[in-house]
Amino acid sequence: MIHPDVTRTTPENVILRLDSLKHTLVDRDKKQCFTVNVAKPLEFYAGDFIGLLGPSGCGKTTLLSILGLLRKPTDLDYVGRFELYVPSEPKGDARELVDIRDAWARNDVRRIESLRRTQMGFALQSGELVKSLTVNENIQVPLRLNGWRSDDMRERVQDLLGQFSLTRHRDQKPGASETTLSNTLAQSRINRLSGGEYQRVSLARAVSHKPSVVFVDEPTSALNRELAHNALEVLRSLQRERTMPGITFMITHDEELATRFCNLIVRMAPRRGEPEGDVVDVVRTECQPMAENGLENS
Amino acid sequence: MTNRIYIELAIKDVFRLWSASQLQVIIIAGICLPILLLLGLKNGHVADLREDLVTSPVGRQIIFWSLKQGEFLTKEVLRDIQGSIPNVSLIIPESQKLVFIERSEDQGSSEGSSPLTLYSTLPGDPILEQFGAEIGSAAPGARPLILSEPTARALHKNIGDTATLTIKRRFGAEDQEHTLDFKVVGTVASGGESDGFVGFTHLDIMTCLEQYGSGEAVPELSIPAMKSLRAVDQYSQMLLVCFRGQATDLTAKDHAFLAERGLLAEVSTAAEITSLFGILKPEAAKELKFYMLRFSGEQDNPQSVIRDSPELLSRNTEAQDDLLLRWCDPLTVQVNGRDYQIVGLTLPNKRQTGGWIQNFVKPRAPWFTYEESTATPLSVRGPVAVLADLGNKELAFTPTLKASLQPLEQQIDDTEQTTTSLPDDEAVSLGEVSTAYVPVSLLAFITQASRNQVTLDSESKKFVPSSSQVAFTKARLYTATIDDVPLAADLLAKRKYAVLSEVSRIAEIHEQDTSLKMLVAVVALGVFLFGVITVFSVLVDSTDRKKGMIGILRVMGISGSGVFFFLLARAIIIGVMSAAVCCGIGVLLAAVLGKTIAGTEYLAWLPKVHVVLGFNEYLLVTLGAILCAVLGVLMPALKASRLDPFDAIVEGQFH
Repeated sequence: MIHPDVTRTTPENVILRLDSLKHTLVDRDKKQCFTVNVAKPLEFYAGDFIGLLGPSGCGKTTLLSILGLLRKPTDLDYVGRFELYVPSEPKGDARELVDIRDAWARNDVRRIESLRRTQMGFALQSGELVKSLTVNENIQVPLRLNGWRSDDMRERVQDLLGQFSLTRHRDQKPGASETTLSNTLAQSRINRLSGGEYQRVSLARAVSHKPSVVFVDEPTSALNRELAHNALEVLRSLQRERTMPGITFMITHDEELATRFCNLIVRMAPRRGEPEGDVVDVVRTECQPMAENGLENS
Repeated sequence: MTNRIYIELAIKDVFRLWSASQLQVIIIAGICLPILLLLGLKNGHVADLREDLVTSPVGRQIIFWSLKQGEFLTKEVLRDIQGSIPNVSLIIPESQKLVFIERSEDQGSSEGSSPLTLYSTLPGDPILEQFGAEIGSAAPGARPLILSEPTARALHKNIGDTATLTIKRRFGAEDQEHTLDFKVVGTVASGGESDGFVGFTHLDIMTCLEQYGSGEAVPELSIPAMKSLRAVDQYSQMLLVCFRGQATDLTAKDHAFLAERGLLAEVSTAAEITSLFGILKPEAAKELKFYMLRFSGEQDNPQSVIRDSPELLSRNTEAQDDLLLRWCDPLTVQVNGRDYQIVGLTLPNKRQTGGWIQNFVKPRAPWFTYEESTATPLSVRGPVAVLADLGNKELAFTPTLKASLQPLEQQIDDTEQTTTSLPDDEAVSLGEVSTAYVPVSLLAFITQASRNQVTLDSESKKFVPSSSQVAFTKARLYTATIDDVPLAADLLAKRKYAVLSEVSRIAEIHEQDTSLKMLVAVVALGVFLFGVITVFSVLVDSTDRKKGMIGILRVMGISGSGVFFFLLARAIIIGVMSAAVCCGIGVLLAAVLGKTIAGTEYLAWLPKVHVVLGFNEYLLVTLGAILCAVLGVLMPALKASRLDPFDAIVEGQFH
C-alpha cells in the first residue's frame, strides 16, 4: 500500500533539497575542468522516483556524487540550501533536518560518512559487489554496518531475495516440494552469477537497510526489458511502501523507462561550447496508475 | 561490532580469494624460511659444541682446593659450600687410598693380593654415571665397590661377587693390617690393561679408611686405634713474654711477621692472665711485657689452630729473648657449689730457651715443665683438685679421668686449706677462686675434647684424635648445568679457592653463540628488509586491484580507518599463514637434515647439518612474518584509506 505521503509535495514531505550548486571537476590527464551547475532549486519528496537524464558527459554522475554525499562541492559559496531530512532517533517516525552544506563547511567527514551509511544506498553501473562474499553476505553488508540484529538481517535478506527473484534451486529432484529445496543462490559466490542476477543483487543491497535515498545508475544495462521493469517495480515499491518512504534517483539514457517509472525527471545538458553541464529542466509528473504497476491508486 | 565486520571480511577475502592470497603467503614464507633455517643452523652448531660438555661430566665439573693457609676441606666446609653456591648438584671430596685386593685363585694368601688404588665416589657421580655405574648408599655394614673393567677381568670378579681388601697402617714402630669384604656393585670402562687396578667406593668408606690410615679408631669398621697413636695438643692462642724496652719489645716488623700468619699480637693485661700473674713476682709487671697472640679477621675462630711452634715464632721475631708460651684460657668449673679454676701452665725450666722466666716465678709456685707435660699430662698439682664435675665437658664423664683425679677428690671435701697439697707449707693464695694447675696440654685436651676433637683412649689412658676430623685436600664439584659453572667457579674463587674447570671452553661457546647470533641477526635483517620491500610491492598491486571493492565499501559508508583496519587485518592473517607454512617446512627440514630413517643411511645424500629449532625460534619467525606483512601493507593501506570513493567508482567504471 502506498504511504499517504507519497508524492505529496508538501514541505513536510521533503527528503532532499538543493537550491543551487556549482561543482568543478578536474581531469588531470587532459588538464581540463568540467563544471556542473544547478541553478534551479531541486526539491525531492518522499516516494519520488527521480530520473536523471542527459547525454553522456553532461554531469549526471557528478550530480549523483554530490547528492549522494560522495563528494564535497568544490565551492560552497555557490551552494544554496543543501538539506537532507532523515528519520529522527530513536523511533524514526518523523524526520529531522540535517544541514549538509554546514556539515561540509565544517569538514565533518564522520557525519557525512554516517549519513551515507545510514541514509544512502547505491546500485552503481557494474554493481561492484564484494567478490569474497556470497550473495547473502553482500546484501547483509549495509545491514551489518548499520548494526542490524541477526534475526532481522536474516528476515530482511530473505525478503529481498524473494522480491528480486533471486532464488535459484540447483539439483532440483523430481517430485520434491518447494519447501524442501534450499536457496543455493543466496550461498553462491558472486562469480557464479549471471549478469542479471548480479545487477539484482546490487539493487537488493542498495535498499537492504531502508535508506532514505537510493541511487541507481543504468540499472537495466544487464537486464532484459521484462526483468528490468520487474526490478524497478520492486525497487520503487520498496522505497514507497514503508512507514517513512524514501526517494530513488535513477540515471538512465532510456527515456521510455524514465517516463514509465519516474514521477520526476531532472534533465541535464552540456552547455554548448563550454565544459559545463546544467540542470536544464525539472518536470514532475503524476504516478502511474495502480493497475499498470500493481500499486493502488492514491 | 564494526571491527568484527572488518576482521570477518579480511578472513573471507584471504581464504575465498585464495588464488590471489596464496602468492603473498608464499612470498612471506619464502622470506622467513631462510631466517628460520639460519637460526636452526646456529642453534645446531652451538648445540654440537655444547654436547661434549653437556654429556661429558667434565663440562659440569669444577675441581677446587683451598688457598687459605690452614684450611682443609672437611665435610662441614663442603656442606657450607654446597649451601652457599647455587645450582650445585654434588660435591665429592677427592680421596685416594692404596689397598690390596685378593686374587681369586690364591684365596687367603697375602702373596695373592694385588695393589688396588681406591677412589672416593658418591651416588650420582657423573664420571661413573657415564658408564652406567652407581655406587649406591653405604648402609651400615655395606661396602660397595666398583672396579674398572680391566681390574674386574684380571681378578675374575663379576657384579655381585665379594672382594676382600686388605688395609695396612703404621704409626711409629707399630704395624697393623686388617681385611674387609666388599661387594662388587659395578664396573666401569677405565684405562687400559696396564694401568693398574682401580676401584671406587663410597666416600663414607673412604673416610673410614682415611681415619684408619691416621691410626685412629674406626668404630664403623670395628677397628680400635693404634696403641702408639697420640693426639696433638692444639692452641688458638699463645702468650708472648718479653722485656720492656726498645730492643726487647716487639717491633713493627714482628707485628707484620705475625700478621702474615694471621696472628694479631695484643698487649695483655694482668687481669687477662691472672693465672700467670698469680705465680709471678711483683717486679714482673714492671719489667716484663705480655702479648696475647690470637688469630685476626676471618680467622678469628676459637677453633683456629696455630700451626707454628713457639720456638719458630720466637726465632723469627726481632725482639730479643722473647718467650712464647702455649696458652689456653682457664676453665672455670663448679664443685659442690663452689667455683674452681683449672689453669694450664707449662714453663721452660732454667736450662731451656726462655728459662729466664724462672727468675720472675715465685718460689714453689705450681707450674709444669715441658717434660712433665709430655710424660704425665694427667698430673694435677695445686691447692685443690678439680674433678668429675668439670663443667659440661664430655671429658668429665670419662670414668678413667675421674678415677685418675680421685685421690685428690677427698681434699675438697675435707678441707679448703690451700696448703695441704703443696710440698711445702707456703701457701699460694689466689683469692676466692680456688685454682688447680695442670699442664697446658691437659687443658688444651680438655678444650679439644669439648669440641669432639680428641677422646681419652680407655686402654692407653692417653688422648687420641677423635674420628671426625678427616680433611680432604681437593674436591670435585658438579653444577646442575654447564651454564652454572662460571658462576660457581667465580664464587669459589672469591672464597679463596683455586678452581679448575671448563669455564674457558664454556665462555668460548658462549662467545661463538653471541657471534653467530649477531651474524644471523645481520643476515636476517637484510633478508627481512628485502622481504618487506617485496611484500610492499606485491601488496601495492594487490590493493590497487581491490580499488573497486574498497571504493564501494567507502560508498556504503565504511570509514577510511575501517578500510585501513580491514587491509591490516588481512595482512596479519597472511602473516600468520605464512608463519605456519614456514614453521611447517622448518619442522620438516629439521627432522630430515642429518637424520637417518629406520636406522639406515636412507638420506645419506643430504647435507649433514644439525638444525635445532625451539619455541623461541618459531615464535620469532611468526612475529617476523606478521611484522613483514604489516610493514608491507602500511603504505598501501594508508593510501587506500584516503581513497576518494567517487574516484574509486568512477575510474574504470563511469564515463
